[in-house]
Order: sequence, then C-alpha cells, then structure tokens
Amino acid sequence: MRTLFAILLLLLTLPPTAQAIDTEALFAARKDSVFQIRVLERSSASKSSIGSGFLVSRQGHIISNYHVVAALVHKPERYQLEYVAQDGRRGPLQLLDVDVIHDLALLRTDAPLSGAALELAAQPPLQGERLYSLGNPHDLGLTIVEGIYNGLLDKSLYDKIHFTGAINPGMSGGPTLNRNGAVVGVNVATGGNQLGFLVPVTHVARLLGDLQQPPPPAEQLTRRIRDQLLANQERYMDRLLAAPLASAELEGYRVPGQLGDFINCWGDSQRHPEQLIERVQQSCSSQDDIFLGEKQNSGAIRYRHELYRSLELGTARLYRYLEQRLQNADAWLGGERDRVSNFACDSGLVQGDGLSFKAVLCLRGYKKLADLYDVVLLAATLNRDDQVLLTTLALSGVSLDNARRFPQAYLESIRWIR
Amino acid sequence: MDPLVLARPVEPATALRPGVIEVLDRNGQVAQRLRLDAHAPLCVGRAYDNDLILDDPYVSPHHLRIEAGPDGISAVDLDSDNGLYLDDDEQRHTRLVLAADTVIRLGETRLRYRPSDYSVPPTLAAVSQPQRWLERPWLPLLLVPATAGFTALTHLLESVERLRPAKLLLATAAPLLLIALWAGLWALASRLFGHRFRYGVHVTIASIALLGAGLLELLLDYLGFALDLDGLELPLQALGGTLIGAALLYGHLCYCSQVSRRRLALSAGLLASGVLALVSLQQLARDPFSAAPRYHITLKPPAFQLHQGEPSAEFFQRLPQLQQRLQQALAESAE
Repeated sequence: MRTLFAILLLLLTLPPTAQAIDTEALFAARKDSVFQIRVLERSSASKSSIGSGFLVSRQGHIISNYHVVAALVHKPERYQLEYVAQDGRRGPLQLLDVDVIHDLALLRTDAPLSGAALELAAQPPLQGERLYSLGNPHDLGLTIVEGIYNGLLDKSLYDKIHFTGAINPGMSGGPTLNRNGAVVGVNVATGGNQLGFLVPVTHVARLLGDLQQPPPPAEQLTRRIRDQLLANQERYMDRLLAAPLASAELEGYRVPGQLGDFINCWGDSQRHPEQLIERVQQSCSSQDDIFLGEKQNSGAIRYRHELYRSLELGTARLYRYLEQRLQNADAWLGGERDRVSNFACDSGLVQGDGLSFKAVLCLRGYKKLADLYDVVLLAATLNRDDQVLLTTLALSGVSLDNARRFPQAYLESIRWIR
Repeated sequence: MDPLVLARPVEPATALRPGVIEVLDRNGQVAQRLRLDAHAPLCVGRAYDNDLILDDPYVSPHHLRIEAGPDGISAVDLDSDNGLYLDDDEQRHTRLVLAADTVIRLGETRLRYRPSDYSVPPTLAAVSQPQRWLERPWLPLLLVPATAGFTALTHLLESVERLRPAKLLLATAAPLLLIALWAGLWALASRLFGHRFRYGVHVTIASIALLGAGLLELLLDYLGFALDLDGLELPLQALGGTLIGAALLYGHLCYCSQVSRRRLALSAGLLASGVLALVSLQQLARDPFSAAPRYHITLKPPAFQLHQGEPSAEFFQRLPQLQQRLQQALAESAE
C-alpha cells in the first residue's frame, strides 16, 4: 500500500518535472546549433535586418527564411550576411539557394561551428503535440518558446503549420523542435497573439536534396526564383482553371465567387443618404501572397465586383459616374520602378456570353524575372440602363499564357441571369 | 440773279482748303486731326498760344510753323531746341516742303500732312466685312446663357448627389466669371490699340470658344465610345483644342490690331501651338514610372453603343501585342 502510494505520488509529480527537464535539456542541447542571421549593409557594416537560422549539416549548412535574406538577393553588391553564435562568435555566410515559394534560404559558412547539426524529423507531429520554437525575438537573445502543434492550414495554397505559441519578429528562420529535439518546422510568420506559422520540415529536406555541387553563382539565384515562381503559378492556375470557375450571384449577375479555399471573400453594401446611387460590393483576395522583397509580392489573386444601381439618377449620370470609376479604378498592385515595368493597356468593347462589356486590359513585366507578368482586367457591363456591374481583377506573377487564360475565363463566366 | 457773283473768280480748292495735319500715336494711328487755314499759318509747340498744343516734353514752347507758300505747304523750324526732322531721318531741317503723306518729327511727336484732295480707298461693301456677324449685340445675350446652361449640365452629369441649386449656381458662376474677366482684358487691349472697347464682341468670341471646346470634347467622347475608338479621342481632342484656341486668339486679335489678317492668323496659330507644345512637354516631364495603370477609357449608356465589340477570345488575343510593347519599353529603359 505504501509502495503504491509512493508510485502514485511519483506519477502525479512526474509530468511537470519531466516537462521542465525537457525544455531546459532541449535548450542546453540545441542552443549552439541556432544562430542569429544578420544582413549587414556593406558600406556602414551596420545591421539592416535580423533573423534566425539553424545548422543542418556538418559542412556548415544553415537554414533560414528567404525573407530574412531577401535584400541580399536583390542587391548582392550592397549587402552581406553574417551569423552570430550563442557564444558571441560571428562569421560570414554565403547564400547558396532559396525556396521563394515556401520562404526558405540555404546558407553556408566555412568556419568550424561548435554546435551539432540538427536532425530533421521524419514524421509530422500529432495534433496537440508540444513543440519548442527557438529564435532571437526582437534581438533580445536566444529564446525558447513552448507551443502546440495544430495541424496544417487548410485554407492555404502552400503548406504551413499552425503553431499556437508566441513567435515574434527576429525569430524568423529559427527551428521548431519536437520533444526529441528534431526539427519539425521553420518559424516564418505570426498572426499576432499566440498565432504562429511554420514551414513544414519536408521543404527543408527538399531544399537540401536539391543542393548542387559546386554551389551556383549568385546571379543564378534570380533565375532559380523565376523558375520557382513560374512553376508555382502554373500549378495553382491549372488547379483554378481545371473546372469552371465557382460562381456567386450578385443582383441578377452571375459572377466569379470564392474560387478556392485559399481565397477569402467579403461583401458589403453602401448607400449615402445624399446620393442617388447604391453600391453592392463583393471583394475577394488570395490569402498567401509570396514575399519577393520589400514592397513586392507575387502570386496574388484579387478581384472585386461592384454593382451600382441608380436611384432616380438617370442613365446618363449613372454611366458618367461609372466612366469615372472605370478611369480611376484602384488596381491594388503596388510596385517599385527597379522591379516592374509600366503597365501597357488596351481597351475595347467586348462581347461576352449574352452580355457586352467595356473592358481594359493592362499588362506589366518584371524587370529581373523574365516571363513573369502582372495583369489587371477592368470591365463594366452594358446591358441595363439602371445598373452597371463593374468588375476588377488583378493577378501578380503569372506567365503570359495565364495572364490571358485566367482573365478570359473570368470575364466569360460573368452572365446576366434574370 | 446777280451776274457779278457769277463772274467772281473761283479760288482753287487747295488754296482755300490746304489740307489736314494729323498727330500720330506710337502705332501710327491718328490721335488728332487739325484742318489748315489757307490764310493763317498753324503754330505748333508746347506753349498755350499755339494752334496745335503738344504735351511732348521734347517739343519747344514755339517749335514750328506750318504755312502755305508759293511752293505749297511747308513746315518751318522756329529755332527750336530739338529741331525738325523727316519721319525716320537723322538730318535736321530748318524748312520742309510737305507733300501728301509726308511725316515730320518734332521731339517724340510725328505729324502727317494730307491735302484736302487726298484720295481715300473705295468704300467697302457692308456684306464683305467678315467679322460683322460677331458684332451682333444679341449674340452675347444668347451665348452667355448657353454657356451657363452647358456648364450646369456638365456639372449635373458629373455628380451623383441630389441636385442642390446653390451648388449648381456656384459651379456655373466660375466659367462665366472667367469669360467676363477674359473678355474684359481683351476689351482693354482693344481700347488701347483699336480705340474701341468692343466688350460684347469679346464676350461672344470667348463664349463660342468655351462652348465649342466643351461640345467638341463631348462629341469625341461619345463617338469614341460608340465606334470603339478610345485611342483616337485624346489626339483628336488635342488637335481640336489647339484649333479652337488659335481661332479664339485670332478673333480677339482682329479687334485689337490693324496688322494684316494673315499675320494675325499666323501669330494666333503659333501661340496656340506653343500652348500645345507646353502641355505636351508637361506630359513628358511627368514621372515616367507609374505603379498604377495609365489608360483612357469612355463609358456611355448602352444606347450609344454602335460598334458591337469583339468576341472575348479576340479581345484577350491583344495580350501578345501588349507584351511586345512592354518588351520595347523595357529595352528602351535598359538603354
């Protein structure tokens, strides 16, 4: 009886003790394998951005996020990379490869590092499993954060782990480990309050598997990024265009609705008491754009339907108002002069399926990423005197073929059904 | 009948009425005319006992005398400080015989002599005056309200709010005020160079130009939409605007200057082209890069759609052309 009691007592006290030992031991065992990654401005040698990274091979290969080192990819002459180890030692890093779609970067240092290469987990975690994230939040020093694995996001084009734990800026590129100390994911983003996102470790394994000997020169990285973006847009565009576009009804029109689970839609309607016009609006946007660099994203799909109805306004005034809306429409896509060209546009009257449109089609290219385009389509219906449907579609980072295919399918799916 | 009167010898007209002395302004326009008396000489100077008093500080109090002599009419210098000259000549004279159209200079004043039998050009036929219809007094009364109405209509078309008379009135007042000021400035110029205000005519010209420009824009806008020719609208508008601008300037200038019509037309054309060039330069000077698409588009009610449009498959076949334009632009920017 006494023995049984003792065992029970032991069992009761065991989990918290085991957990405490777990975190401490994990941190002690892995801290030398995690580094702060710094992007330094060459001329002033001062920090331009910081993130985290971890050792994955005995040859000095380090994994981090693409977005941590993006400045270096775009302006290699202006920036350089540096790691800072837990003991304060630092050294230069070389950028070998990137996976821009999943936001990963493969780096390497020639200097001997004291930490051991982290093992990559072979199995995904179980829902509810405790995970431990390491990184350097806000440049405060190496930190370990406990959290819970909550599966992969289902509303995303790209695999992402939903991690319930505090991931903060600066921890990007750091590893998230299971209780055995194997890497299950790479810290990549936060949605605020205990809502973190990780890149599954399988993509790290793929990046390491693609490793070329000798490493490609820096200028080929741009080529790699372009190839990855082209292949990626082909994949999701094929998926979107495999079946007729999902539709929704908007005041008598059939319009493209929520085209995929990675797209989010909102709607509202407005009527100003002083105005003689009513607006019903539905706008949709893809949720995970690919980060290319500061102020440049790719892979965005955005569209909006606005229905304007005249309330004693009269046809001439309604159409004059819509002319101005069409002329000054917001195309959503930003852009920097060193990355994208100007838009080239063409407009005309278009015969759709039982419906005429006035449409504008605009295209622009990427200066460094050949064969990738941004496309904007604006169209206004011409079937009724008392209402106009104005629709706007913007795609970023697609091939010329998809810049034609998708907007055409989009416009052709719009119908008048009353 | 009195035979004595009939027998009395008739003096030649020139002797009786020797002619007219004209004071010319800087532009060669006549500022004042004075008929010469056959029996008394005409005294010219700054002093108040002269027949012709000139307020020219370079003219002496008693500068010259114009008198009839055996060899005709002549001007005699009365030992003035600054002397007597022929129009553009530097040679000082003490006495000058005045033939028809002789211009003499004293100080900064020019005087012209014309005899009484000076032949004037034939009378112009009333219908041959091309600007006559512009001068009809009821035209501004018609055109100003028309312009106001057009402006009000445009304003109404531009807004989606419930009509508010005060706002409409305010929007209409601005262009009318502009016409009033613009015409006022030209009327002032007319008064300076042509000696008549002609405010009504200038209002007419300005109203026609403003109304014309507005109607042209509207017409091109609707035609561009109806025939699916958006691309042509802006160049045509620039061309039409320049022509209207040139016509506007020509019209105003005609009432301000005596220079030949051809030269006026030329300067009006040059001025309008200059404005066009300036506007184009402004377009060129703007930032060549824009993250937002730049395009010009028209949208009118379905009833105005004359062109049926192209099938969507053909419309989207324009993408390769757009791509070629991009390649060219990229290649140019790379150079």
